[in-house]
Amino acid sequence: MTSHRSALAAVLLAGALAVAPVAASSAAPAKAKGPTAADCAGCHESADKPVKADALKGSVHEGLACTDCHSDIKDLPHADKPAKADCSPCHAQAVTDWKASPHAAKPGGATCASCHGSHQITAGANEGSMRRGIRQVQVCGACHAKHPGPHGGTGEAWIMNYRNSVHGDAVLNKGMNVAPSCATCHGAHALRALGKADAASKVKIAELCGTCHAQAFASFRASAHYAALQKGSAGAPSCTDCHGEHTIQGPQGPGSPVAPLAVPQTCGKCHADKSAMENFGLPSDRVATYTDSYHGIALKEGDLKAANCASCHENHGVLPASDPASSINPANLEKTCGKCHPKAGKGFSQVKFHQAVSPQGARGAWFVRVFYIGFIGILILGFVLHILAEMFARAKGRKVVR
Amino acid sequence: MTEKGTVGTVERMTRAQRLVHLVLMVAILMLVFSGLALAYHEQGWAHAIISLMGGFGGRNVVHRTGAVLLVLVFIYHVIATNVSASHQRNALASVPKPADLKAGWATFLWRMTGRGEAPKYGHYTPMQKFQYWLIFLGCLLMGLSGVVLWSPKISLELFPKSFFDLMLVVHSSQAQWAFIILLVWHLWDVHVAGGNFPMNPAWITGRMREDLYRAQHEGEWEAMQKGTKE
Repeated sequence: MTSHRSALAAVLLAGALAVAPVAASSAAPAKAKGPTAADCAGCHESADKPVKADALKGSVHEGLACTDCHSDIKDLPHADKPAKADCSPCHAQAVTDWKASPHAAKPGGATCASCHGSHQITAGANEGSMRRGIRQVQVCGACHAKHPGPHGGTGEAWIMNYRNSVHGDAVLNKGMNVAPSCATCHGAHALRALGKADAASKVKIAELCGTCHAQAFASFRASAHYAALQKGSAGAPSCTDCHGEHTIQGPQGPGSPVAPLAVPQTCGKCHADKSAMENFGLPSDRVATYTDSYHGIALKEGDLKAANCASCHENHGVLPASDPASSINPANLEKTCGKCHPKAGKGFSQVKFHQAVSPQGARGAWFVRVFYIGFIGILILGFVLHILAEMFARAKGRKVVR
Repeated sequence: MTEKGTVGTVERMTRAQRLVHLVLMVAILMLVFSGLALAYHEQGWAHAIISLMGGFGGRNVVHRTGAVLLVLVFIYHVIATNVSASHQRNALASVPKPADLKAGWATFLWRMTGRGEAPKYGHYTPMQKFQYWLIFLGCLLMGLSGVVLWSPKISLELFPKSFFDLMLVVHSSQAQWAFIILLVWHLWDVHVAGGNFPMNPAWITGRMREDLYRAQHEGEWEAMQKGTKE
């Protein structure tokens, strides 16, 4: 194959020398007209960074001539600083996308070769290919570890976070190339902006995660959170608000914000925030009343089977009680509570949950508590008087009985 | 059996009473520690207690075992005071009377001013009666609210959730009332007050030093000397 191509190139070269230059450059790689690989090697094999005649051997581009990519070189000797290799004739879309990306916008930004290498570019399934997640982490990480991270500092911590995440673990340690690596979320040639500042961007994040997590996305699309995003409420959460981004872990992963123990805090980021909840007309005492409940205490003390927020409210498909499809709609409470209390009867469907003991909440209980506080106060006062009276009598030398 | 060589002793508690007192004490300690750990769950010491009991499940076992013990003691106590003659006598002695209120007040006045006379107490001092009946009432309320809380499944079938919440408040508040009476006031009285320091040994030996018995239950003492029971 190679020798056949070389022979063809030689014939064409001979033709080109005889005939006036042909109008070149179509979408297909131009057949070599200029110097041969051997001609190039004549100088470049002895250069500071030597390039041998067989530089492309074994690469995906094996068989192409030097001038197929270094297409501005038509003749020898060439200009002192010829242009960089041009990938666009074959990879037009990739180059167009790249040109529109932040990588192309800044001088010194990543070019084709920064990521893909130059002469030894390998095919998709091979180890060195950018289609491999492991390679992406190495290549993107090499630059971005030095660059500022999205929230200050260098990107190094962000890359480390990814490496330790459930996604990073799958890609780097378990050899699961389908698991997401850099380009899966951030895009490759056309970098994807993953902002969270507005509701539309948050919807995009959900859609992106949904390309793999279809079932979770389907539930989320039916949820109150997604409905709020659709209405343009940037305060409503998308996937990453609960799961994190680079740090993402499964429910059992270390430090996971969706681990049973962490769920109340994760939901509480918004649901315990008074001003945030006021925007939605929602109560902000739900986390406090939970952590003070039997479920909340049991969970905190390590009973991971104890109900957390998601046990009753669902996770992705959370809906308000007024929605008939909601797990906490009175009609569904028997079933929802029944997940843990198998014989839960109708008693559960009449129940008001998250009732604070206060004049606004459980008023009767509040009244009883106030009574008790008063009575216990009197008991303590009586006890103190009892002690003081005895000590006083002793000091005065009076006979002390009980 | 004498203490300090020369001082004689008087029987204060029978063997059966001491046994019941011991079971009651163990039950209350189990209940108070495991219960307060729940009521004050946000405190570090509460977490330490729960860990010590083997986590949340272990805490439940301790609390419910204590509850069963307390209920058994309570039932025994109620039956015994109705069938046994000696218990009946004690029960009658524990009935609060207007005189107790007067005696309590008189004691306080005498201690503070030295006027009048120190009242003479019977088998139970007014303070003991006060504490006994508060704890009796406390046990009833703790038991009833505890039964409701034991199984939300059953109690929510029978009562509205607001009643369940009410019982939760009663249970935890009543527990703190019992804590003040038993672990603070009662322990002060039997270990420190009235010359009992370091301890009134009646709960172990069943007997009290004569001089202390006389000082603390002078009315009963005088009746005993005359050969009649109060």
